[in-house]
Amino acid sequence: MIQDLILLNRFLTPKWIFVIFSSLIILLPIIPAIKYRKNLSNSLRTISIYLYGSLFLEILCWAIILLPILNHRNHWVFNVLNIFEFCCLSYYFLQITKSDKIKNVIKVVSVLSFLIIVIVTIINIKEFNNYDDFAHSIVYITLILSVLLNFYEMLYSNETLSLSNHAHFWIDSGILIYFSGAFFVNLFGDKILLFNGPLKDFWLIYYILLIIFRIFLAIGLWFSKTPQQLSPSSK
Amino acid sequence: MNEAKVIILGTFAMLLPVVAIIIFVFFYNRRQRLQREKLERIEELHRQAMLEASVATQENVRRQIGGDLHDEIGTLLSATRMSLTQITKYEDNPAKRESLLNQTEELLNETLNNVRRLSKELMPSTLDEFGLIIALKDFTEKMTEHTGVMVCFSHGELAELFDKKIELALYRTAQELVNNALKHAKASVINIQLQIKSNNLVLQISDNGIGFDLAEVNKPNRGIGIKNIESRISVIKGKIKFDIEKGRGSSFEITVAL
Repeated sequence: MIQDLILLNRFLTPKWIFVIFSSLIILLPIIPAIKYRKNLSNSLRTISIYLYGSLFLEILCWAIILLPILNHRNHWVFNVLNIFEFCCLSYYFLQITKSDKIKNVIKVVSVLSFLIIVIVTIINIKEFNNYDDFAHSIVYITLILSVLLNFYEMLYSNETLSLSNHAHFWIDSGILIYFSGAFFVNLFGDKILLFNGPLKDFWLIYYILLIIFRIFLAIGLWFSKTPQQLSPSSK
Repeated sequence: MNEAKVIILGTFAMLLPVVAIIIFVFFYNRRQRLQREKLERIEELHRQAMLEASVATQENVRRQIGGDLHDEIGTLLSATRMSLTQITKYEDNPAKRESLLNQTEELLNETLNNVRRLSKELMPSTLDEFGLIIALKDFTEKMTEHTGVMVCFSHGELAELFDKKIELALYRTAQELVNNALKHAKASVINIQLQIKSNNLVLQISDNGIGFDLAEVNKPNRGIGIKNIESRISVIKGKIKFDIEKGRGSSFEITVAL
């Protein structure tokens, strides 16, 4: 009982409240995903599946932290989330890419990355309960590359759409900002956690990026309520 | 690596995607602006071309009416006048007078027929009296009879009358496209289909001909240009889609909101 109270007390500090807030903010994109589910295109449906899965894993994460019977170790959930994230978002990029050339590049890179992750996971299966920073890095690099390729395609497409109303632009931007930052945090995580003085809470940057990512996803899904159409043209 | 270096790297890592997005937005908007300007220029040229085609069509019609009036009706009326003059010369010869009167009557009947034909060409009476469906039926039957080319018309259960302007524009378009298919595509079968699809009146015309060069038929002085049709359709706020290529049959779809 006392241990439980100590545990709960730990979460009442401003930084933990902020972390809890970053978890709760997943509800923000889930609201339009549910509200406009009938309007969602296939690619946005993939994003909503990603959000539902993330919500489930988020709840699982907190359950592991809060329930003593689950021994408080939740790193394996991050590894599962990483693979799930990779599968959903790679599929999303394949869905939104129109150019066959770019689609093939994304396909090849994604399949290769997936194979590497699977091989590394099988080799280090005993370490699955520990945070797998190599697999995370592979996922981040693949997704950043996919975003850049998608931006390139958008830039050279003949579609005349306003970017501010473009669901994919917001989602891609969110992915780029979040995964670039997360990649850095992943690379220098060990050093960041050892920071002292005013920068000792620098690791919270990851949660700021997560909040930005989820807000951008919410904006993107919000624009699904007005499906964009191309102006009709004669052949 | 010390804290400062990690912070600098971190700042770069955070700023880099933001800068990438800003650069992307800048280039995207610039490209969109250029594309819009290009599109506006094309639209302006298209409007201009349609206006020219419309003027050219009017000129062609006027020239044709002028030619018909001069060559046929004018000639017939001159002959009638001469015939009447002859009648005055044969006041004492009733038999000759009778013959001349009959001849004059024939000339007048012919003139009247020509005036009727001309008026029918300008505004088909079938279209005016019975509407588009009967007019197209009549037109296709006549075309099949006169040209030997199978011109089929189907309209399903459709039997209603539409707005006069829409009916005239679609009738003229069908006439022009059938003429094109006969003259340029050398088609042996032409299909015309009229139907209503989600509150739109859709006219589809297809043929099994050898196709034709779009640039060639677009010449306004030929009076057969696609631009003429586009101009006609744009007046009734319709849309036209076409699939033309030299070497194979062509198809056209005209959609007008009801």
